[in-house]
Amino acid sequence: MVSQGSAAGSEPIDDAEAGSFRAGILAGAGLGDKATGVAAAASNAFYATNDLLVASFDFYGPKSMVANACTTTDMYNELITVDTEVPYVVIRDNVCLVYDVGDNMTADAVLSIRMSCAQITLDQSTLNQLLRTQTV
Amino acid sequence: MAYNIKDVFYLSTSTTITGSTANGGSAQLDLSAYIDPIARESPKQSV
Repeated sequence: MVSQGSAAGSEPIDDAEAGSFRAGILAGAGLGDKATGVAAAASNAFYATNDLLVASFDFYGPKSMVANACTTTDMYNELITVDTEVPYVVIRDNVCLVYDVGDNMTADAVLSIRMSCAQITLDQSTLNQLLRTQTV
Repeated sequence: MAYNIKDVFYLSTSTTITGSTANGGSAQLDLSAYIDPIARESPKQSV
């Protein structure tokens, strides 16, 4: 979810927003809390080939494509989504909400996520299998 | 896949993307409280 920055409270993104960014949830990234411009995820962090990418989406502000020939795409373009039939089992001690700005945002925006989680028990062989498959 | 309601919970976080600023940022969710990596075994009796 993307909202206008704190000065505007919880208002929806303004129609003058011309920025764009890609955001995602990375398991085990260990990046901490970093302000815009400080953290740079690895160049392949948001590729589908990164097994530690749990979910991701692209955001395009309403005014981000006005000068282009094609009309503005949807504001939110979901890329990697969580599958309800094949759940993503996080086997790291942290997940990070990470974003990479494409076009600088016109105004501050608040990016927030909420995950529905379930705590499950794994036997050793299942844990080993997940460790093998979820390694970059 | 069905889960027991007692094992289900929400995790949320947020971060501010500063206007007119390039590159990226992050917000971390610490999951260590939900992970119990130590396998528990009953102690083996030695004769």
